[in-house]
Amino acid sequence: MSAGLAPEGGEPEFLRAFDIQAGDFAGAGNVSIAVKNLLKELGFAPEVLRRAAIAAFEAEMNVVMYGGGGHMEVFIAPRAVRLVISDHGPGIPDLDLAMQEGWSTATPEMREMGFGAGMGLPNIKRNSDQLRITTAPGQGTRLQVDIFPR
Amino acid sequence: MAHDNHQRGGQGNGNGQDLPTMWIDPQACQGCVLCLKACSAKAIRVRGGVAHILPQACVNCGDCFRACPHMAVRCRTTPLEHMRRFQHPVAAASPTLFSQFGYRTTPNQILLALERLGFQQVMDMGWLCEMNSVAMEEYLLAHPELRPGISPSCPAVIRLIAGRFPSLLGNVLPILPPRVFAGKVVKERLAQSQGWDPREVGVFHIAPCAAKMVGPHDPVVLDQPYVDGVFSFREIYGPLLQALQGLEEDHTLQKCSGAGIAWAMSGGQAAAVDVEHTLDVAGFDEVVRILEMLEAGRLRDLRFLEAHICPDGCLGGPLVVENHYRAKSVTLRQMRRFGAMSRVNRAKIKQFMAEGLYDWRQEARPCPLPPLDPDTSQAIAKMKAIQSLTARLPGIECGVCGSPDCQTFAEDVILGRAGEDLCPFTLQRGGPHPAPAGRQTVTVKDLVDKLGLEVAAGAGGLGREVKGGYISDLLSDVMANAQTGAVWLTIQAHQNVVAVAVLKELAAVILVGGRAPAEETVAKAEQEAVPVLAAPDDAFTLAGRLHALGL
Repeated sequence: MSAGLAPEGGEPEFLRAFDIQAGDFAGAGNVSIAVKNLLKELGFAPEVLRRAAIAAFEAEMNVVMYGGGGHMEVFIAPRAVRLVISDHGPGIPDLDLAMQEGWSTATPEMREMGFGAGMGLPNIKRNSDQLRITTAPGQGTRLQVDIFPR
Repeated sequence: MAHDNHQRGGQGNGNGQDLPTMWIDPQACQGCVLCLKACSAKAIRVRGGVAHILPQACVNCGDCFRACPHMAVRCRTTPLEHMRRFQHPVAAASPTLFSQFGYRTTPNQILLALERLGFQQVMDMGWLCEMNSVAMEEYLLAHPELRPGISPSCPAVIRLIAGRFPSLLGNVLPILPPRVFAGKVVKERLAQSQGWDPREVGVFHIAPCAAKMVGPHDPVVLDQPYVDGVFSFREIYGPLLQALQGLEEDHTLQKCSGAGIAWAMSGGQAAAVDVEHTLDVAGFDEVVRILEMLEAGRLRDLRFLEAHICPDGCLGGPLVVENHYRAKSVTLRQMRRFGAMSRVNRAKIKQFMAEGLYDWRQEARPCPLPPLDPDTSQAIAKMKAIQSLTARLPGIECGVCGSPDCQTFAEDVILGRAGEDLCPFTLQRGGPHPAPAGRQTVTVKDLVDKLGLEVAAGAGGLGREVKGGYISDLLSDVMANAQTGAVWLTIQAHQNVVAVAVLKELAAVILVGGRAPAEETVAKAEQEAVPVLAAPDDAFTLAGRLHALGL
């Protein structure tokens, strides 16, 4: 999506992976909370926690709602937080369209619950320093969110 | 009830400042896990058979106090006789006090009874609470960007926010809560108008909890220098009951309506603060859940959040006397009786705000628990070590090690706060989970040497690795349940035993109770190189010795 920024202090290393269940609205948000608490324990600044929490939550909800389940992996370096969110969903046919604010494929039921504002991907982009999206119809979607503490 | 020896002139002055609000009496503590398990903040450890509280992590919620059947947990409040240290003692009682004396006792009677106890001035805190609602409402209206404003009334919630949700500290409404406002008004206005020496004015909050006893770890020290002490409901209840006997209701102190009476009950503030979208939440875990949602950028529509650490709000405080369901029933009755319409003059509140009467003296400061290490690389290394240790722990969260759960125990070990040997399951025994990698292997020969077993047959297999043990005299049970690499303790000495050992790839067969193998058994064992050992011990004793070897 954007020009590749090399994180200072080396490539982030894998730390932990979390499963995300498809359609699990009741448990939705738990993975983001766990990720945020993990970063808090590592001593990342509140600003990093806030951005990571928001990006993680939006990505988690996308996997719950559209992705047919998947997982979130956390990679860490002293000056970089990387979240890799992969799902088994239908993929995103038109990524440029999906990145537009307000564009949504949410069902009426999802909207009923306060989702589907078309803010998910734009929100992730806004809160990350680098966002890479790999997707193709029928191939699932992989998001790589990089946050570099300032 | 335990008391500190603090000096006149403020609960934080003198010795009192260094004392924690909650503490555990080592003499009374039985070293059980009840408080350890009750503590949502994970602020308790049991070490050396005695529980103690980690002051940095404790938010003074009182859950340990509620959980302890041995009365070992103490809440520090001010001894009642401290009111005699001031010429002009003033009472500022939480309106929750109105719920403690049944349906027929009115707030006015309770305020008069306080007067009878010797307080020169008794504040109607219900009224000050109604004023506070207006002040919070006005602040919210003037700051539409603040979403949501969080009520500053519960000090335990404020500590929780400062420690675990520092990014939300800016959402706490910078309006003095009623108890502190009372103290400020008394000392800055009333004392003057009465011609009292301000140093001789002692303002005492009467509270259903000890969380209002501010200490060195408090992030928001709003109470000082306005509140001089906190009397608990439990301590003042008896004297008040006596004062209510034969009370003459000759004047009126009560100004509050039902809105003030119910203010400290969960939902009381959310109902009184008239802005769009209010939410009230009560109970430690529930509050954490809502704060997590806020920190994740959810609940964006919310304008006002009322959060209490205690279930049902202050009615459920640890130091109340009345059962909190009954207290709620009484509160609802009084609300109907006195009506929910507040008669507070909004213009006057606005004037107080303009004069700075509601302003905090100092900003709230975050006090997050320290990260695993100040250096992020080190913190990452420690987290990996914690993860790998956690994987070796049984995950049954028993608390026997003295830490609240396996994850926290792993943190305690890696941070040097506990020895790994405190866990009865890791390392010493195979435990419910696989033994850690890199552990030294144990061979059948090691067992023979260390336990002095007789090798009856199959010496060719003495180099086999032993991975565990199994005791049974039913062959089909062994076929079903024994693990590969186990030593099998049995009294069966016939040749089929060897067949089972071969099929299940057991490390060895140990005949217990001094039994000797049959001839055919010896022949088959030699043929298959399955060690058959003989032990004089019975199975129970031998199993114990095997465990002691680390199996």
